[in-house]
Amino acid sequence: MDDKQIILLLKNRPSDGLHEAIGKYRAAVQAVVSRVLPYHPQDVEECVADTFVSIWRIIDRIDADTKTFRGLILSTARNTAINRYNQLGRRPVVSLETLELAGEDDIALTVLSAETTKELQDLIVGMGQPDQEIFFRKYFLFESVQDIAAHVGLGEGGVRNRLYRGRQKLRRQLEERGVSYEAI
Amino acid sequence: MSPMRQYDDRFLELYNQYGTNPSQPDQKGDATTYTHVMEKIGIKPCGRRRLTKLLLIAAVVATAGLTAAAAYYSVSDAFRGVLSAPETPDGQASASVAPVIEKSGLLLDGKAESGGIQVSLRAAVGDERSIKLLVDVVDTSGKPLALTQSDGELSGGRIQFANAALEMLNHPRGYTGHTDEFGVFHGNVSGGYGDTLIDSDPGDSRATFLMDFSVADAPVRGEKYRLHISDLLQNATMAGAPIGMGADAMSGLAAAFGDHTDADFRNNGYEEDENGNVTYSYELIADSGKAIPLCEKTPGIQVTNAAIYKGILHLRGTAESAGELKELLDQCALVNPATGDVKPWASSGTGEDDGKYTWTASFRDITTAEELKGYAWYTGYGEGDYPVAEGNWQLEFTLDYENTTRTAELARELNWQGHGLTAGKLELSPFSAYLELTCDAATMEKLVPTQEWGTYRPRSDWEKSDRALTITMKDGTAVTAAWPGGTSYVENTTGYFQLVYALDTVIDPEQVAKVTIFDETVDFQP
Repeated sequence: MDDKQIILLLKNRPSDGLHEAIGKYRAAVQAVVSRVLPYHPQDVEECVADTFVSIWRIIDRIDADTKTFRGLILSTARNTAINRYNQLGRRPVVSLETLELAGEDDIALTVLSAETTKELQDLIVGMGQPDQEIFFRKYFLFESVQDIAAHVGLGEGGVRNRLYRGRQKLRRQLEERGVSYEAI
Repeated sequence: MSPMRQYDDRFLELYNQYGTNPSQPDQKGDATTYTHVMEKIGIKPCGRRRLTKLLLIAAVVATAGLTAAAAYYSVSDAFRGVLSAPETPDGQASASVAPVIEKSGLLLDGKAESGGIQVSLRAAVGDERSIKLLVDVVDTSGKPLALTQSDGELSGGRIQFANAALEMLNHPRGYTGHTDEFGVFHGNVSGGYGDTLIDSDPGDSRATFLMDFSVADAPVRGEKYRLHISDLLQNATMAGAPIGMGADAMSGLAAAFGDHTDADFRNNGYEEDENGNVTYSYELIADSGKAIPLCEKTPGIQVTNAAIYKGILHLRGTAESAGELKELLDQCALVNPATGDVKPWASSGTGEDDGKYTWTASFRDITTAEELKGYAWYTGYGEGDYPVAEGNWQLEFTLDYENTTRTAELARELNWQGHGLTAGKLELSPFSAYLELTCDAATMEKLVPTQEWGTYRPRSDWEKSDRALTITMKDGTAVTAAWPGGTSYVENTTGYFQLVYALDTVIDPEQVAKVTIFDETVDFQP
């Protein structure tokens, strides 16, 4: 079923709409959530369910013709998982800009402020390939370096190298735009 | 923060691009999540068939996929419970009209928000001459759409839009028509408009309306439209509030001008109700040369003329702003708060003359100024249309659906109460019927007499009659439509009637066997 049909069902027959949305996107949602909460299967299931509940709550504001319904679901899954991770309080919150200190295999776990998010979105959308895909997979889909390397056809070392350089470049660009990277 | 606000579409596209689905389906996991989500939001799962399947999946990991029985949302789903098939003679539901509704409409998703109210278009159906729009209204704050008891002595009338107009875009304008308060020109889109409240739960923040528009002299399908809607109102009876004048002000005011037995009144014409009853209205034009403030709060509102004549208190005055006028005349009445007695509102009007605002108002059941002792001017009183939500909403959409109308040339002589008419073209759509009748000019004059400009003519028997049309389907189902709209005219020596009937139920034109007009039954053979 296409996304437009799912959205229309969610708006008008929520039980059917959720049924279809879950059938189509639960696996992808679970993949994103599981990478944030790899050792907490019960929390994963809770976050997956919460993601679809969130989508149901905002469905009146979603255009049926939107082309980014999948993106909306996955970004909701990401934020839901990060919130749950922070609630668990088992590790300190790690931001994108402290990754170098925390270790490059760590993940970005901060729900960004609106202003910073917009700047960061602009920069990532404007990145060339394969850096855009590498950054996106790393910091928004939380994929491992090994998986990213397989996706983009580079060695793991090459991916790590691009992540390191990319972070430095991002920091410079954010500073040029007047955004303090400590705020990230 | 909502993800909708956090990310823009360009960025969400990256999720689309890189967030691939794992290839291994997990039907048990899907079923578990679905059950979990349903529990969280507290709504019933899908119907029994699917629920049974879900339970089976959860229990034994059935092989059937969750998405195997796709529950598509369609035009007929949108109109379920709103548009229905007629019943057969034995009281059974006729064959499903869902297929014809599917062909005759489309799903829409336009949205507009104003004043905290979101109005959205869910779906449309139509034919060659009319459109039906399903419009959802939601208060985004979650509060009930309808007025509540705390707003006054509420009678709980239905909610409705104050105004609605359909603007046809990208289409040449006709010669005739008028421009309404939205600035929408009605040269092409004309005829009737009506709305039906589908969901009227007053404790709910949502309502759905079915809005009907008829369109004259222009194609309907394939055209782009803009729907204009303003202000949501509720018909209710309210207790009102005084505008801040003293208890004896009204009797003092009336006494200051005196009781008139010979006041000069101008005939302002008449109004005729559906039963043919005529009510004449008059305007007081006597000039008293006085100007007395009506209340202390708004000294700009003054009474310049007053007269009690034939049981009615007539007042005329001035105001400093249009806002004052609206406040003064909005559901006004003269109320005695001590006794609860009311001198009801009879009429009111406003005007603007050389930058000055003027008003008139009249109240019934008054024969002397003395009777007004203890009465005060109230506004927001009595039965009327009160605002539930004020705003303006505009929604654009393009109509694209199949033409399901079938046309036949009847060429049948008819007799209506001794008058000869010829039935010509008959168009039947799922939602309406269009019939052309002709007669000679003399018959036309008897059926629709010529009216001299500026004179009153009672409605003729033809105009008072229902002119019913019965459509009989192949399965014996009969649908009767009456009280057509339309027009009539004489060209050379022939009179032409164009009658448009709205159907209460949906029919499949392919299934029509015959039609009955003025007791004459004709086979329908397109």
